[in-house]
Amino acid sequence: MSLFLYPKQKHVRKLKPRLFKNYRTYKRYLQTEFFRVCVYCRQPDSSAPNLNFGADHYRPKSVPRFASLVCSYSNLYYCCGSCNSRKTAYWPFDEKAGPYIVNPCEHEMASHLRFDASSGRVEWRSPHGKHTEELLQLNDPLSIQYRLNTTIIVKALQKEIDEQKAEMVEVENLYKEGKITLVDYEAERKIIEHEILGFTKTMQSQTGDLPLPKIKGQKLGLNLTSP
Amino acid sequence: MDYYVDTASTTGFVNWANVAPFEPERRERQRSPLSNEVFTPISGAPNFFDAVSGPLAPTAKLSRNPPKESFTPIASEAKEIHPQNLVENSGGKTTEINNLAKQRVRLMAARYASGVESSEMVARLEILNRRLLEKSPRVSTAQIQALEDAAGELARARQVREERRKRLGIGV
Repeated sequence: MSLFLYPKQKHVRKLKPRLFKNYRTYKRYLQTEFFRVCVYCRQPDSSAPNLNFGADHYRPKSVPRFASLVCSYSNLYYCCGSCNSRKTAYWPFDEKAGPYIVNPCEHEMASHLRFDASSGRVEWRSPHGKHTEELLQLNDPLSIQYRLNTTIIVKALQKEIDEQKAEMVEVENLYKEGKITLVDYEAERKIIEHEILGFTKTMQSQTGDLPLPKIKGQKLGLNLTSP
Repeated sequence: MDYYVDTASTTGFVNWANVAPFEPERRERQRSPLSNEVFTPISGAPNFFDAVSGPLAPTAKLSRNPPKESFTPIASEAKEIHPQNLVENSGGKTTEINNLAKQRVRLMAARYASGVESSEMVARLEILNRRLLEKSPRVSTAQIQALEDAAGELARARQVREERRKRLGIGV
């Protein structure tokens, strides 16, 4: 379970979409590229309906020298609305000195930020990490509590799935021993399978593991990915 | 045959030829608005700002509030006006959040550049942090609701499982 954990290695982009006029078109690609979690706070977009996720310009489009990167896929990151509104058009005046907001493609995130599952806090490990945590308000009390509760719920869901599976085996044994009829066995099996499916889906939506539909390679005869 | 003899003096002919008939007289031209003397009250130049009509009248300022019409606007006019107002109203909160976020970024940049963390700066940053979290909380009610729903489902499933174990005699 990698809930809220920061990646240890730099992310290498796998998708190569063609150049689109509107940068919002890349959102679908970014969602798949970054496994449907916000690259800054690691919040999955599936944890609740209608969460405001979008494409973030790491190098702000409002800074004149980055204006050409408006639709550059390599400058776009999948980001939640909270992080995006806090980041605004931040860019360090002195590029050598920083401080930078860390991103998974240019930085090893885990060496800058670390999620502590016991406290629910995001701890910084470098000046860049400290700046990111402070600017994006990653440790506001509500977020800490939310992360703790999510961790508890996900663990409870996993435990319940395991117990349901164990119960399925016991019900099967009862049928084999002739203690229950085939009709009762089938009815119980269907109920348990339905429960397991529901809890798996809920857990996947909380962890961000809910599978995404495959991105189309072509639309109306046009290639959507570059070779 | 009689001939008409023009007896008018031709002495001033050259002078008149140099002046186009539509051109204002030289004196008036000297008092043109481009001349600096019009701005000095001593010169007795006309005050152009008092003129309300004619070529010297100033351009009227556009009033910020459009005059109220006595008639009801037609549909096309209504469409032109109302969406703009709606956008301004709906974008109000977003603009406020953006402004707060920008102020925070500026303050943090100033703190980083100066290298000194004054108590005033800390207090101002704290105020902005609190206001930003109030206006744009990081956790939405939908997210909390989703967790509560999951917890409710878990409790229900446990109860169903316990009942089944009793009914079928599992683990007895």
